[in-house]
Amino acid sequence: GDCRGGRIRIKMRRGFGSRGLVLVQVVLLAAIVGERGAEGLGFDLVSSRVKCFSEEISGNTLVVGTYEVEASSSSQSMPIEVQVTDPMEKVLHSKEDISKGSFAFTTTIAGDYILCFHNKGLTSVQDQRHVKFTMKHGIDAKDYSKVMNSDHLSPLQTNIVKVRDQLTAIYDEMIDQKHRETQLRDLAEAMCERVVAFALFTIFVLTGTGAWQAHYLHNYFRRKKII
Amino acid sequence: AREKNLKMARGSRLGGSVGAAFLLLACLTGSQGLTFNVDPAKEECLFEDISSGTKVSGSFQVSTGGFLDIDVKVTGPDERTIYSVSKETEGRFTFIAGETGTYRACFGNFMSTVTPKTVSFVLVVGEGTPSQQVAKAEHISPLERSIMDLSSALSQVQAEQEYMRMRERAHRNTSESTNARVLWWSVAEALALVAVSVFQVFYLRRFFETKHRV
Repeated sequence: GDCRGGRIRIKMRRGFGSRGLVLVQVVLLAAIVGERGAEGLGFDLVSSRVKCFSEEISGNTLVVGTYEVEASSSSQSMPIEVQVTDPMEKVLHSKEDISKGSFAFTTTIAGDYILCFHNKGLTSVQDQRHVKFTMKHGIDAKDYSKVMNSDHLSPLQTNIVKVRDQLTAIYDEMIDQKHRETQLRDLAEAMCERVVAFALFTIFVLTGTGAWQAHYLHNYFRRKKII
Repeated sequence: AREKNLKMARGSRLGGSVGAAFLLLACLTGSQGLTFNVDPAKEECLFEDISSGTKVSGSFQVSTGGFLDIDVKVTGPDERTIYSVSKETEGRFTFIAGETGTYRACFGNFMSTVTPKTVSFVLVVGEGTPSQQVAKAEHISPLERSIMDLSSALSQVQAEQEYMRMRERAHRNTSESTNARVLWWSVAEALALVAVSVFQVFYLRRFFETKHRV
């Protein structure tokens, strides 16, 4: 009774120690990853130009994004404005003169979500600014280290949770593709019917104008007493 | 019994730390699928910082605009060309990053004078097989290795699905534009037929009238 209790207590203390070591490892690795610099796709934004990136996202999906603009080396002011719009052209996130920031939202409707960067410098300014951004949705957006901490799971369990989420996402995507393929097939079949209808219409017009020509000329020649 | 507990505790500690390691490594595999416009007679370049030894794969698809063709060029930090195609509608490329630095993917729309092209681009940057990476670390259980490989394989499935989605979108755009074109073509053809037949009739009339006057 007492002896067994003692052993369990020792095991728990060791568990805490191992968790502390895990935390140190995680922090170290995070530091190493962080040292790589700002993450994301980068591009140059010339003064007075707008660049937009859109992504087709299904409904009820978490979208997480970050953006970072390099400090301007030129003396002329070129503030960058960022804007995120949904398929209904409603603005979900907007910020002027950005340097570093992030946004997050959950989609309601499926469609094109557009992320735009606008260089508000003048057209006369012959310079550009370098922008870096990320836009992740679904599985990539979900922070699994948070899940690990909040649900107190081991890394192995968290990875299994991630695998389960991945499978759900793959399945949902397949259902979505099935629907889109049905729509495409309906469109193709409607097009086929349309081609047949217009072919018949063309033949009808051709025959009609031919008959009208013959009839008109017949009457005309009769009138002119040629026939 | 106490020794057994000790061994189990140590094993779980190692497993825990390595587990955290491969959890983060698995997170480093990311895919970014974006659609953007390339204005006529212009080139759009996208940059990505990639570390040496990383497996990179990308695919692009032109969904709207003109002849649906574009020039694509992928260059490494040393300005060496990794992938270069001209006037292609879609393509895929895979490479292992030789050195750490900024890699550039440029899309050129120089063959067009008026029409902007819409390009969909998927870039997957990640450790291809984390098993090889973590093999250097302390031994991990076969279960953890399996889960790692499973997660990596599922990421690849998702990347393929993204590619299929891109292709379906381009196909849909083509079908919709064809559908609209069929309508306008038929109307135009009918009008042309009617116009030509009316012209024929009145030309013949004129012919006979002139002769009659003469």
